[in-house]
Amino acid sequence: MSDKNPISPPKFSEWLVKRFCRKDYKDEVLGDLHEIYCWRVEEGHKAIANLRYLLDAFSAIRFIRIQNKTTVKLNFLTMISLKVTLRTFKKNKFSTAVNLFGLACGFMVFLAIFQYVSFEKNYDAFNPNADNIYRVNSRLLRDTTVSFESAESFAALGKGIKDQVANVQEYAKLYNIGVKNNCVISFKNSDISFIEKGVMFATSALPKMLSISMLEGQSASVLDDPYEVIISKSIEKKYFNGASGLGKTIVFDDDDLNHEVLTVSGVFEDFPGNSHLSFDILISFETLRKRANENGVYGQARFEDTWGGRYDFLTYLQLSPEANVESVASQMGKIATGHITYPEYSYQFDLIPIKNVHTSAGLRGEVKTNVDLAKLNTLLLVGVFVLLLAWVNFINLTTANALNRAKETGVRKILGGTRYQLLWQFLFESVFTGVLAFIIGLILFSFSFPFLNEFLPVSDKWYLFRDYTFICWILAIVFVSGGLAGVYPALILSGFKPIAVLKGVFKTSKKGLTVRKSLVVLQAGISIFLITGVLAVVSQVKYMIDEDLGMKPDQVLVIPIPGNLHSKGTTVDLEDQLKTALSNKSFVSHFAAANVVPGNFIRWGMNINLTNDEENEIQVQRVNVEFDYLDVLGIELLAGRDFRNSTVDAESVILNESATRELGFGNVEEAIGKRLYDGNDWLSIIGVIADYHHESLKSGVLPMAIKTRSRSFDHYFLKIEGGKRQDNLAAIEEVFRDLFPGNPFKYFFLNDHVLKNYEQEERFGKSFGFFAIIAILISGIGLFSLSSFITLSRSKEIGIRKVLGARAKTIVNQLNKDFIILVFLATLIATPLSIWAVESWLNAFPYRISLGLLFFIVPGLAILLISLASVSIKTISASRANPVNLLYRQ
Amino acid sequence: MNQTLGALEELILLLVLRERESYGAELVKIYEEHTHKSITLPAVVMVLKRLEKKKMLKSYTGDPSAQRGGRRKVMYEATELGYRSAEEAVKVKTQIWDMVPKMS
Repeated sequence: MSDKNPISPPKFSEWLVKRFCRKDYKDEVLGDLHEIYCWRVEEGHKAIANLRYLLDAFSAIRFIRIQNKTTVKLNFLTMISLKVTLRTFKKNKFSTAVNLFGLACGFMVFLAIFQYVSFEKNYDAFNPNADNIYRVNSRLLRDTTVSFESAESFAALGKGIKDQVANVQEYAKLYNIGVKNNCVISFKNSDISFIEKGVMFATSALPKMLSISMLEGQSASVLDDPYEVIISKSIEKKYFNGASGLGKTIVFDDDDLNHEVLTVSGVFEDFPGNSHLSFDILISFETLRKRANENGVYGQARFEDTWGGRYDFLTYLQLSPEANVESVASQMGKIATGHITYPEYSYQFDLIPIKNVHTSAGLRGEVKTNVDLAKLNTLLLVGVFVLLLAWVNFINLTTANALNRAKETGVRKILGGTRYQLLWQFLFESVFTGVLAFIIGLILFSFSFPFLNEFLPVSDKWYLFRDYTFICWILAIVFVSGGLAGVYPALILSGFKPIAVLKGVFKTSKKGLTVRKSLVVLQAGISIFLITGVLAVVSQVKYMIDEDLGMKPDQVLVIPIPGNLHSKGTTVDLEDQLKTALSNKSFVSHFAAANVVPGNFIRWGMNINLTNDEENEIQVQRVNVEFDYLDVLGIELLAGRDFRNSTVDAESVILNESATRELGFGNVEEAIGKRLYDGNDWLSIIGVIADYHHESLKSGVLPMAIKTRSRSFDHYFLKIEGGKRQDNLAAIEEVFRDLFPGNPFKYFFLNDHVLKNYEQEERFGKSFGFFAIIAILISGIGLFSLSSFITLSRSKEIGIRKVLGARAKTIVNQLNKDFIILVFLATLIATPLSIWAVESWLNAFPYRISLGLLFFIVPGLAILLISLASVSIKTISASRANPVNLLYRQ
Repeated sequence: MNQTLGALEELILLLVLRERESYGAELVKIYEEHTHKSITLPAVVMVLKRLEKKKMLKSYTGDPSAQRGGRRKVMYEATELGYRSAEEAVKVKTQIWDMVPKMS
């Protein structure tokens, strides 16, 4: 039964009948349909009733066949318009081709950008509960200053909040072990092993909350018990070669010496790429608690009960639809703050809807790199610009062509054509061109997708066309842009006075010329803007790649510490053996181990202090190394000495220059030998290094403290000198395999790794460059065809000038002058605007290029040259023509 | 003059005769009840209009009702010609049917 009374049929279907059904049958049909609809709703299913109504509505369209005056008239008009349009196309083959090609390029670029932007903006929208699920971002405040902010929070949060706050329906917790430790999956009775990054521990509510679709196993209970694991379909294929994985066991090891035998309790469809989360293997959270019980109270506290302490857990809350998000967040803050013993500290939480996580500001602990919303909007703007350029061409060419259409207008008017009919004709022409160009653009897009996908990655080629709202958007854009572009030419072309036109007294109006000129200025301006953008992005990326980092990552081989250490002996022994074996190789000049990798964010921090007083505390990044670290990376020591040996130097610390500055030392020498309090121990400063860029040039240098110890590292670093790369790697692998059986040998070179940080910018630069080229191409062909029209309409003038003795050069100059002035004007307007935009983009970088004279001159000059070239092709050939031919024609 | 009568036309005509007078929506309902097949309303209306053109049905406009969203219904009634044509068609069929050898 319907909840509304009286029952009303679906609007769209009713509209369909009203619009298309034969007029005199309309009321009868509508009434009958209404009645039938009411029965069907009363019979039960409203959805079925709606569907049947829609079918009936479509079926009603058949009445068109029985004479329906208005429709036939419409069809007739369309047919005539189509015929005239095609005739015009045929007559101006060249300009039509140019128009279509430019527009098609515009549509291709626009589609690519629109698809990418929609893809990025609609992360996690596939989850049917997405609107009610929130990720918790946590923030630790000291008075009012933020001392810590993270996408992850502490262990007890989810459960505690669910128990104490109303409207919180469910919570889920993830422990992203794959990025924190080196995890190795192996199998009993097999030598095969895999290093896995997408491993997480998840609470049992998670599969349902994230609507993970289970292929095998019950989604409600797959992660209830300890030692249960669910794996993605592709992992199942990788591990079990197409056989079902359900019930099989896998062995999990990590470099913290955890070792667990897990049973596969479920297999899920690969988690979609358009989510802020990504994982292949989910292990039940109960496993962690078991682990905790074995290790004693510390573990239980760490994974379940702690309010505060380690921020290790991604927490998700599902709220009831009527919940007030802000009030939940503030209650959470109060509850969590209640658990802190230090008086001046407090917690704050943000609940981010999971749909928005990907476009929000990225915090530490984020699973994927977040996307910058401003950058997406900039890209979209570029797409709109390119499409605009293409339509400007269309408007320019159509109005320039007015001369040829004027006679047609005159004759049609005399034969009784109304202005409305002519308007319709020209509007139809532009929309038709738009649709045609869109189809060609779609084909171009389809062909160039593999190329476009490199810098605008979208996992699915036809992503946009799977959702009908997007299809509606695209169709609306095609039709509306076509219509808008048609309005001006249609008004101009349909407005001619028939008598004047047919008499031959016809001049292009001054106004039309101004419009055309300003459109050329607009085109050139947009091109200048894009060129400046490309220049800025490319030179900024080049600067960041080439700039001295303060360390030398070349020829540094990095090996992650193997995760599976259970096969042989104790850790320290093996690490020592590895070190001895590798250091003895002739091609290894330095060997070190550390708990950080340059190019990655440093997750560890500590508070240091020159006195015992908390007031003067500063926060620094903490790096633990083995003592050859500075030599491996070639970091310059400004004062003092390097570590000698981990046992001797356990109480020593090396600071970077920024840290000594923050602590208030006048120069680096002053710091040597001073004592530091780190909250637990007193350390002595033995050395100061020059600031080096640990992560990338995208972030500033933070104060850093380096300590030494002999164990618990994440990566080995080898500085390699001499020898062939292949032989060296083979030799290292042999040692590794010998010491750590059951571990895959993985390695990377540090210089490649560091460059990965700029991939996003490089991609941005590439896409910008590509779009700028398309934009310039479009403006180029626009100018070319415009100039060909103008030379044609001035051919008589050229002929007379030549007869009177003008030289070809003067004529070319005369013709080009107009265009040059316009481009010059565009440069004047667009340069300051684009410089301003580029400046604001660059300001986000702590280390950035300064905009030299280059940026003011090159874009304008480039556009000037390009337009000169495209205009000259026509004007030069016109000036060379024999004046007899030019004058003979009339 | 004999006019041809299509299969669906014949059926609808019979239904109208049975009901004495009827309209589109009702015909859809009883058609579906009798044949256990679904039919779209426009198909029925189409047939009604055709029969009207052949002068086998005549129509008049009824009263508006809330159930129809305040629209008037168009009622159809068979004419003398309609009655005869239907009778003829059915008679021909029964005659042939009687001559069909029976299957046990």
